[in-house]
Amino acid sequence: MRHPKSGGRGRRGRGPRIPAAVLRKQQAVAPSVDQVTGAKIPKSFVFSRGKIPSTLRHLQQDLRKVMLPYTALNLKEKKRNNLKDFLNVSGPLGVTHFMILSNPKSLPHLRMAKTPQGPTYTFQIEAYALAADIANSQKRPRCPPGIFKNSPLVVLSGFTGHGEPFKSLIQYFQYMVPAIDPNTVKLATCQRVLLLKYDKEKGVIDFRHYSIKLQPVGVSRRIRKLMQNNQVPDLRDLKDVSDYVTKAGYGSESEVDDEAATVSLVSDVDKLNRASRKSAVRLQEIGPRMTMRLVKVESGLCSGDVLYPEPVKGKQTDEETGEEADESAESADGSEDELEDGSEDEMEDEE
Amino acid sequence: MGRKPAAAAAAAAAADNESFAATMPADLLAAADCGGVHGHSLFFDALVQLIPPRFYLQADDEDRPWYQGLSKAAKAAMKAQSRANLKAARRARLDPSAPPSSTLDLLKKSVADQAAEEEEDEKKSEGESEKSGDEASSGDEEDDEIEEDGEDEDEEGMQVVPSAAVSEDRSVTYEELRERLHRRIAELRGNRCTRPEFLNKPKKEKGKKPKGKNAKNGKDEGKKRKRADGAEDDDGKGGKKSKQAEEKPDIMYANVFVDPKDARRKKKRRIKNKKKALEQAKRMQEAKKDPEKASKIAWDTARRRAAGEKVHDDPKLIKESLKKDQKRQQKASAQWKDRQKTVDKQRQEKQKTRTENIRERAHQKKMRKIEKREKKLMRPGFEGRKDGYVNEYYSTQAKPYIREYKIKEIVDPDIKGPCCSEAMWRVLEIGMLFKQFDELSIRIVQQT
Repeated sequence: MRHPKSGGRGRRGRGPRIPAAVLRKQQAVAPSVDQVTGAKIPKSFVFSRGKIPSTLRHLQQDLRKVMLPYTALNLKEKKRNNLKDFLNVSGPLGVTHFMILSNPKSLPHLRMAKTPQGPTYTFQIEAYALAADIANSQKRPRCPPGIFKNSPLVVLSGFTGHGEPFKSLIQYFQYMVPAIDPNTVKLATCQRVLLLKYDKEKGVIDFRHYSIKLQPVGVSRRIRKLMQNNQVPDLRDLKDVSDYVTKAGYGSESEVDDEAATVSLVSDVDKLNRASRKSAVRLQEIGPRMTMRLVKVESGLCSGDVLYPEPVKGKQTDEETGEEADESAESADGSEDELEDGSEDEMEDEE
Repeated sequence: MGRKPAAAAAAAAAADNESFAATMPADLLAAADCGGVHGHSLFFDALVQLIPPRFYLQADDEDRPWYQGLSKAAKAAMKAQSRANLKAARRARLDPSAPPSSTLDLLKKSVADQAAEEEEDEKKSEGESEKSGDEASSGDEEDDEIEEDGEDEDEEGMQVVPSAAVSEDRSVTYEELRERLHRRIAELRGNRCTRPEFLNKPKKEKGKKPKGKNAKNGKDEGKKRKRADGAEDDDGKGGKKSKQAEEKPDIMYANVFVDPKDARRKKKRRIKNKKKALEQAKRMQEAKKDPEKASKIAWDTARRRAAGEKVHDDPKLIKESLKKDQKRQQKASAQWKDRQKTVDKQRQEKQKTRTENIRERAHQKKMRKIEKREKKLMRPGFEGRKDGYVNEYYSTQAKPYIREYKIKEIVDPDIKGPCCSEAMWRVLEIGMLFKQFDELSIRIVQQT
C-alpha cells in the first residue's frame, strides 16, 4: 500500500507541492511594521541614474550591502526607467528612502531622498574607497556570515549646533534605520555600525562602516581561542593543563584598551561575552568609506524649492522669486545629467 | 499522638517539659473535680485528649490540596510543600527529644502559631496593600479557617505545624511581588505620553478645563522629555559614554524607540478630516508667500518629512484625495442601490413561485378529492354523475348518430368488452319512445 509523502500531508487539495526552498523564501519577506516597536520599518532603494563608471557600480553594490536587510540587493534598473517608475513601485513595497548615485561631469554625486514627497540631500563624493579595497588593506579582514541580517546602528557626530540643514540631516539619518528599543534589543543583533561624522572646518561628512566585535576583558588569549575554536589544544610538551591555562602569553598591542572602550554587558551576547561582565568593543572596518560634501537640499524628491544653499536675496521680490523659480524649474527634472551640470555650475558660481 | 499505651511513657517523659505537658486524660478528669470554670475546662480538655488530633483539628483544607485548577508551576509548588509538610510531621512525631504532643498540646501550639502569624501578616499587609494577590487569598484562607472553627469554643483556625516554613516562603514572594510592582509602575510611567502637544485636543463641548491642565503640565513635561531624550541617546549596549551633556549631545544615535503612543501620534498616516487639512494647507500656502517665514516653514516640513512624518501641505493633493473619496462614496451608494434592487427582485420571484406552488397544491388536492369521489361512479357503462335525463342526451347529442346508425360512437368507451348491438338498439328505442311520449303528452295537454 502506498503511503502519501509527508510533504503532501499539509497541503490537502491546495494545488501542486511547492519545494521547500521556495516556501522558505516566500516566508522570509521582510515585514513592513516592526513587530517589537510597532513603528514602520524604513526600506531603501539604492540605484543610479545615468552612466556611471564601474567603480561607482561597485560602490553602489557596497552601499546596498550597508543598507541590508531592508533594501533591494538585486535591484535591476533599466535605462528607460525614470524616477517616476521607482516612485510608483516604492509605494506598494513600502520603500521610504532612495539613494541615487550619479556621475555628472565626472564628479560622483549621491542623492539621499525620502519618498514620496520628502526632501532630497545632494552630496558630492569627494573621495571614496570600496569595501574590497578596505578588505585588501587589512591583515585579517573580518566578515562573519550573519552581520547583514540586521540593520546597522547609526552614530552621528558633530552635526549638532549647526542649524539647518544639518538638523534635518540628523533626523534623516536617524530614521534611515529601524528603531531599536534599548531595553529589549538583543545585543547579538547589533553587529554593524554606520558612523557619520561632520567635520566643521572642511565642511565634509565622513561615512564609515564598521563591524562590531566583542571581546571579553580579562580572559587570556589562549582561553579565548580555546572557547572560540572549540578544538582540543596541543598539550604535548606540557605536564599539566594548568601550564596551558596560566601561561603568560604576549598581549597583542590592540589589547591595551582604555577604559572607555569596555562596557559591561546587560545580557549574554554569546558564549564568551556574558551578562554583567566587562567586554571590550572592537570595531573593524568593512564596507565603503566615503567623504561627502553637502551641496544641495531640495524640498521635494529631486524637485521643489531649493532650500540649501540659501537662495540669494535680491533687491526686489520679483527677482528673488524669479531666481527661485528658475532654480526650482531646473531642479524639477531630476533624471537628466545636463541639468545636474547646470545646477552644479550655479552652485559653484555662488560659492 | 495521644496513643493510650504510650501515654504512660509519654507522661513520664513530658513531666520534665515546660509548658505543653501532655497530661493524661485521667489526670485531667481527676483534676476536673475542682469546681468552677476551671473544672469545666479541665473536663473538656480531658475529652479533647481522647480524640486523635487527626479528627479533631481542622487540617483538611490544607492537607488536601486541590490540584486540578492550578498551573503547572503552582502544582509543583503545592506538591513540594505537601511533601515537606509530611517530612516535618514525621520527624516531629518520631523525634525522641521533643515532647510527644497530644491533641491538646497541638491545639495550644496551633493557637500560639496562629497568633504569631497574624502579627506577621499584619505587618506585611501594610506594605502590600496594593497587591491583592497572594496575600488577600492567604488572608481569606486564614479568615475562612477562623470562621469555620469559630464555633468551637476557644479555638481558632489551625495551621499545620510547619506553618513557619510556609510563611517564610511567602515572605520571599512578597518581596518579589513588591519588586514587580515597582517595575510595573515604572514601565507604565514610561509608556504614558508626556508631551502636551501630542495629547488629544480637547473637544469644544468639554470646555477649557483640559487645556488648563495641559498648560500647567507643559513645562514639567517638557523638562521630563529632555531628560528622557538624554536617556534615549544611550547606546543599545548599555551605557557607553552616557555622561553626555543632556542638552544637545554631540554624539547622537539612531532613532531609539521610546513611546509607542507618541510615535503613533507623530506618524499618523491618514488625515482624519480632509476638509480641515485642506484649509490648513491653504493657510500654510498663504503663509509661505511671506519670505521670512517661507524658509522656516520649508525647513520645518523638510525636517518632519525626513523624520518619517507625513506632512500634508499640498492643497492640490488633498483636493484630489477628497474627490477620490467622493467618487468612492458615490460608487458605493450606486452599488448599494443595485444590490437592494436585485435582492427585492429575487424576493418577489421567490414569493411568486411560492404562491404558485401553494395554489397548485390546493388545486391538486381538490382535483384528487373529486377524482376519488367520481371514481366510484365512473363504472364502465356509466358516465358518472347524473347530469340530466338520458333522453336529453339522446335528443341533443346522440340523435345524429342514431339517424345514421352509428351506435359505436355513442357507446361508452369504458365498456371494454364487445357489446351486443341488438341490446343497444332496444335500449335506444325505449328511450326514444319515452321522448315521443313526453312530446305527445305535452301536445295533449296543450290541446285541452
